[in-house]
Amino acid sequence: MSTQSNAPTTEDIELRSEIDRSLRHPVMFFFTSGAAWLAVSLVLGIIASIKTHNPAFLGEGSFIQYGRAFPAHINALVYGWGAQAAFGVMIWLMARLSRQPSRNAGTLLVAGHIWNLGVMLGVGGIIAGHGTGKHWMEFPTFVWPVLLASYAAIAIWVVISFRVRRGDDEAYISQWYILAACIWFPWIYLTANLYVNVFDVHPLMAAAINGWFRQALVLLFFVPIGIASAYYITAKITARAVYNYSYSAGGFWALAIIAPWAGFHAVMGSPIPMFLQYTGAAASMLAAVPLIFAGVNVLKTTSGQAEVLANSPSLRFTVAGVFGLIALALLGVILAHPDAIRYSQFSLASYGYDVLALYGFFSMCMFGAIYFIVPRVTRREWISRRLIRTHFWFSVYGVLLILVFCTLLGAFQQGAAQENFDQPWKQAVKSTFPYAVGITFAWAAILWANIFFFIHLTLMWLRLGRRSSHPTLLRRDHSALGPHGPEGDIDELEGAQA
Amino acid sequence: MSDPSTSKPDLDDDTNVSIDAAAVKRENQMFTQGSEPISLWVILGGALIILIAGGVIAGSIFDYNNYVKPGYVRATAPGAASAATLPKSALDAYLKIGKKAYTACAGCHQPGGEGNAAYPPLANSEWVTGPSLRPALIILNGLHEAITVDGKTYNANMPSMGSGMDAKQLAGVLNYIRNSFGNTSDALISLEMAQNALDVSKERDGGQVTATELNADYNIDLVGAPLDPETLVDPKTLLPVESNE
Repeated sequence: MSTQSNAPTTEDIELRSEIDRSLRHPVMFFFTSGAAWLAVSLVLGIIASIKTHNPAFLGEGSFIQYGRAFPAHINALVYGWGAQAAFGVMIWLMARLSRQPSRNAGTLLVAGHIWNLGVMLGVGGIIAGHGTGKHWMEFPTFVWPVLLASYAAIAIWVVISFRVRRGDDEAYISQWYILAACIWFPWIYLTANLYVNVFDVHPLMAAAINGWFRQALVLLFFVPIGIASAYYITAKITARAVYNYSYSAGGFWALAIIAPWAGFHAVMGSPIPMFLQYTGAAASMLAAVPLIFAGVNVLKTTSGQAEVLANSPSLRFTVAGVFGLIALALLGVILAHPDAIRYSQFSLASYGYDVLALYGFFSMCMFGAIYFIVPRVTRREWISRRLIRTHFWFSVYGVLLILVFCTLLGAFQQGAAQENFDQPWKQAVKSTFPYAVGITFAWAAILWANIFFFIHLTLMWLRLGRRSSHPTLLRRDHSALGPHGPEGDIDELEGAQA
Repeated sequence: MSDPSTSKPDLDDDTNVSIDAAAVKRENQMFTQGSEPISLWVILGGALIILIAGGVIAGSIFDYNNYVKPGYVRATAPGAASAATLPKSALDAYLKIGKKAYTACAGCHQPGGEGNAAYPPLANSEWVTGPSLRPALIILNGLHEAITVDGKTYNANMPSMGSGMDAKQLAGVLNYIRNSFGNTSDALISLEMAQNALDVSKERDGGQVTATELNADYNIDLVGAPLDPETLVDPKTLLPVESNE
């Protein structure tokens, strides 16, 4: 391992805190409003899930039926929480790695408010019955230009801060991923919306493009941001070099080459050109290779750091997210294989894949980054280790429940029951009942976790965090006087120096 | 460095970085360029995935029979008209029926309608292309005694072909012989006209016709509106339909 010193110089400390100060308002805005949307999405997700096994729940009101609650749930999750958490991490991480304070916090804040307005109109439109019925594009069609415009106003500053970076050393792998995701998102989002909502495309092809859009949004936006965050958090907290840097670069280019082909297998068996369906399936499987290499690279970087892993909330969430990434890669190989598509295509499997991608991997990495970033931009420490632990464990339970019982067992059970021509269709629906109840339980666990997360984050935003020089670690320190010890209190330190 | 003894409760402009930004201060420097070897099993696992995914491409895209069943026929969409009943032009629809019925005639008049030494030709025959009631009555009742076709006299005996023949078949045969073998006619015999032939034949109620009788009493066209060959008709009922394209 390297023998370089870990201790930062005073200039470094001042530059970092200057960068953190310059971005505190937009970053906290994105995180907190994202967490609020996450809570909204989870409530809607629970309602939608209960509706699948208990349709009389909450009565007959049309606005709360499955057909509206479910798209509202998944779109709030993608655009309300996922995108905003990504924005917060993107702008902060890029500014830190490029060593440039932001001078555009105001623009970022305005664009962030417009983005939130767009998401609010979109979710409200779905609830009111104006959803388009296209997966992940259910927002009424007037919303997408609003989102794209506010995205442009946010992402342009990420690109610019990369362009004006200090130091002539090579860009760090996290910067590659963030910059690429920055450029890929408008490409995917604009292309899909033009072909599905604007141009007069054959409806079948539009459905195929919609399948490509969902897969590309995962593989070319959420995955790069999550990996960028994981590479940063692990290298930063363990103070170790990325295990094998050339592999991380190779993984980046492999993802860039493979991922754009994936997704058309969503409509496998339909009369669209065969090569699209099979290259889509093969690319979805191949994408597992760069994902696994990135995941293994991150895990190897943290190997032998059990103490840090046990203590640091950021590292623990990130490592859990990276396990989610590897599970996502392997699940992609299983679900996209043409032999499995027969069972998985019309079952719960694709929903389980989306949840694993958006929550089990991406959100966990974002939580890790948020637990790292927020104490720096607010200059307060997290209030309670117990809140963080609740957040972590209930998230993990929820994800495992969805992954094992719903995505793998439930999906193939449902698919096989649907394939069984001897039995009436009702039988296939009945066979998924326990798994539908399981999904409700999983979302309830995740909601429980994130209510505490949202409260915790809001208190931090209100600057009610601890003033201490000691971080909030997940294990108790060795102090008889209290969970955080007397030596960390800043007021006491200042009193002693005065 | 700013004054370390500041005791401002908030943390804004004159923040004491060394104490106040505690999280930043304890932060580690970044090291990036590690180059430790990735374990063999990860590489082998990646290779396995590439192998499986490659199998999907090679085994599927380039193998036509894998995804198209032999003898595949597109199923009719529910509610849509089947391909067999799509409207087609009157000429095609009538000729199809007539050609099938003409197999009964081809034994004597030959498949090409050229006839032979004993039986008169249909090609270039004024009896076929002329007033349409005469050929209709010959088909329905048969013909005996001498008949002169294209300057040559024939004395063969043609039996009645009319038993069980309905207007559709009669119109089909008439249109077929009047529009094949080099014969052409501007308008098709409609179902209404064929029905008129059946009525006339029933009224006459006799045996085989003769050339003399035909020329004396029946040297006229069938009564009814003729059909434009381009009219779209239902191939089953032969009735004109509205185009829905």
